[in-house]
Amino acid sequence: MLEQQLLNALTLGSVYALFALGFTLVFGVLAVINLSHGAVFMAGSYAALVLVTRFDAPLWLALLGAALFSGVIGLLVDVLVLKPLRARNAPHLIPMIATIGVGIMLTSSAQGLFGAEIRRFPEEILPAADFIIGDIHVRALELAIVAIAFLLMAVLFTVLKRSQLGRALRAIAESPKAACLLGINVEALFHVTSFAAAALGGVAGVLIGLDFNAITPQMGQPILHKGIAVIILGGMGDIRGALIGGLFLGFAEVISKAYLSSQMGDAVAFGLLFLILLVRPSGLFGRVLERKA
Amino acid sequence: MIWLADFWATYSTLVFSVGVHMLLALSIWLTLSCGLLSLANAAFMGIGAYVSALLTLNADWSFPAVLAAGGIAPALVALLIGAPVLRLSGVYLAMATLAFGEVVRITVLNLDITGGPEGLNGIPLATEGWHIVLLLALAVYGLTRLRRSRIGRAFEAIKEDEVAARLMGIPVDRYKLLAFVLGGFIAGIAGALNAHFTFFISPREYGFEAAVDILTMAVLGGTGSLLGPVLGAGILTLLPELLRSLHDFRSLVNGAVLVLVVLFLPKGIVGGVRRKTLGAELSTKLSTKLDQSAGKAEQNAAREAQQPSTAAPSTPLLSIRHLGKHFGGLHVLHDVSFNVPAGSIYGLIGPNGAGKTTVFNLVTGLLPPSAGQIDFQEQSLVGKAPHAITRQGVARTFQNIRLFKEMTILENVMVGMHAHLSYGAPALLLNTSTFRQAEQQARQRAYELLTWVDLHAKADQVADNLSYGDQRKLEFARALATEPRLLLLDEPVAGMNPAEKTALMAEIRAIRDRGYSVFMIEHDMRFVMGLCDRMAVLNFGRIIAEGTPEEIRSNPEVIEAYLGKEDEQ
Repeated sequence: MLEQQLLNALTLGSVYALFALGFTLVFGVLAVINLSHGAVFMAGSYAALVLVTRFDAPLWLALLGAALFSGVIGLLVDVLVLKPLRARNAPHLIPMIATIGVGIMLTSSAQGLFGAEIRRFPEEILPAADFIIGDIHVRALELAIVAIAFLLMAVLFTVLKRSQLGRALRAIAESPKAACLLGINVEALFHVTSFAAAALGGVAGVLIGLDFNAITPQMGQPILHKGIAVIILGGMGDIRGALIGGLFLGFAEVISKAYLSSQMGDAVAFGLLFLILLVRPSGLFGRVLERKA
Repeated sequence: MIWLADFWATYSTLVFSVGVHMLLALSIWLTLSCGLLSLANAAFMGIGAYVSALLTLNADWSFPAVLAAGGIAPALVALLIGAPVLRLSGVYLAMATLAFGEVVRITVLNLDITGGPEGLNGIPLATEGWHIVLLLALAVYGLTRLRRSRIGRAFEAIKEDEVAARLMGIPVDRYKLLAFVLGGFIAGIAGALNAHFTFFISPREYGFEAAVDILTMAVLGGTGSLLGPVLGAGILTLLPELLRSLHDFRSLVNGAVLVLVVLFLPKGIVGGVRRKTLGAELSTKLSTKLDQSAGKAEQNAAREAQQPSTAAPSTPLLSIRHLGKHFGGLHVLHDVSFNVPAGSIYGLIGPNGAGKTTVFNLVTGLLPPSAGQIDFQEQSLVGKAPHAITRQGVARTFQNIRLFKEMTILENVMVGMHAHLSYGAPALLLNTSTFRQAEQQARQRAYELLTWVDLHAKADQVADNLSYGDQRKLEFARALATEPRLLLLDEPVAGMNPAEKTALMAEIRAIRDRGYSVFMIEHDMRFVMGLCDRMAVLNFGRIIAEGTPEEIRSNPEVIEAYLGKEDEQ
């Protein structure tokens, strides 16, 4: 049974990591805690649902469409909300409060358009193949989720580490002012980051929607809280930390649900998070850096 | 009057909710007014609601006792978690309080005594309209009194600049804790009131959404005044009722309101209604009084000037011995020793990066020394908190001016008097004559100090509007308001033109002649040489010379540090 749990944990953890990567990327580059990231995640899964049910799109196209749709939302949030606040030099908590408002707007729009009830992907669209390896029951869907999540993360890591764009982003993360003086178009890269982060969030939304085959307007809330937990675990703005933190939380959650009560698992996670913040605000894996965000 | 009864029957719950939400918005105003974003208030409300409901249901306590318990329980929790949590700043604090809220919600969800996800049912209806009105009135009154006292000024100063607030003698950590605990208390009372008219409570009501709602109310109304949160709570509670026809889109409006307010009304609906600290009437009264008090000020100055001579002339005011400071492997100060005699102007000079400002940071307690001793009036300052050091009589200004920019000029100076206003909470709340006299005297003394630096005509302006030179002057006045024996000036003439420098020189001499001792860091050699009685030269973290300006001027090592060795050229 443990192997089965580990597979579940890997699936969940890789989606958490994907979600948290976008979240932490925005914090690292824009220095904003974007609390609409959960709603963007939810929007992605509804976009895929609409593409599949209304337009009979295949799953891969739905995934792509969801990424695009969520990405555009992220871009719009940056252009319409965050940019004016940057221009005004608003205190750092103000953008965060604004993104709370954006999240409420998205969630309530979804509720108005689709109702509060649970929506599901049609069963026939899901990859049906199952394997039995030893004692473990492996769904092809789970393998696909893990593969997609890791593929996207690998792409992101490569871009950040190897490309000119990645170097520019890391320069901005150190100091937007210095980056600007070096001739980097900081505003444009803020837009790119917002788009990419939201697109990753949207894909994560589709993957979770597929895994549980349940989509609701409220589905962004719990994952937002988990995303917060992950980036605090991994160190805020730390890309590698988000990956490790996401997998860690996936495992912690599945294991504690299997061996403790289902709800107390969450309490343990947040209790742990609370303690980490008190003892080591830079995160478990983060650099020892007193970052006064 | 039947329509009234009808109205009440239909809308009483709504009216009650408005009142409860107003209390909640006031509870978060407390932390926001210190510049802290805490999202714990929904959890505090939940603790208050559950504790009070359980005491009513299981212990049969009377309603007033239940209300009190509902407030005290979350206040105790706040006290417990406050010390570690409030060390965090900015988003870290927001995240930690969010996590705390989740822990509370999930715990309530899983306990048997709280009824788990089902919540508690059948709570007797005990809350009446007048309970809410009375408690709301008490809260508004109490917070208004608080806001107009030294505590309100301290909150605002902490919000503007925590470091500067510490150096004005404000025990910042204690005040943050006060705001946090008091906020928890008010939120708990609101929760208890709420539980006793809704009949039923469940953990769902106290989660993240509730925390955000409370924040939205305060932000919408504006936190610059108490009216803001109250109004914001009213609007946001009534808005969904007015928008019933929108059904599921209802909360879209809440979100949009939040975004639009943040974008277009940064100070909220009420905006920054700045209370006049000094009406025109008062200011004329003060200026006529000033002639009389000028004489008194002279006496004060004379008395202050007398004080140094009571100490043995051989003991220095400030004695620094073998002081060392390193950050990791970086040694900034090494075996630094010198004495600042009482009643003198002492200079510390040295090239950029020599460690001068670090000396100030060690003396004022902003940083702990790695080695050595700092004695002020023969008492060690090492290990003391910045506010305690200020209270002993050490004040400072900053190289990059650190004023409380959104506060008026008079308020800036009055913040400096924090430690010397000793009225307690009862005097403040009841507006007793002790309180009024103390505040009146503080205002008057602040006005005198402003007159002395020639800023009295602008006393009611916001500090941010002042010119650079005036900001420096205000920083002097504010430092002097702490009633220091020793004044530390960090590059006081940076960015000044020659005329301003000459004027400042005269002012610093006048400060010394009033009986203060001055210890300054400066780059401008001509300025220091002309002003200081004695000086020390710091180079690469070591003292290379100490003496009178004449001795320093002819010291070969100093010449070398400033001009380089001859054979290097």
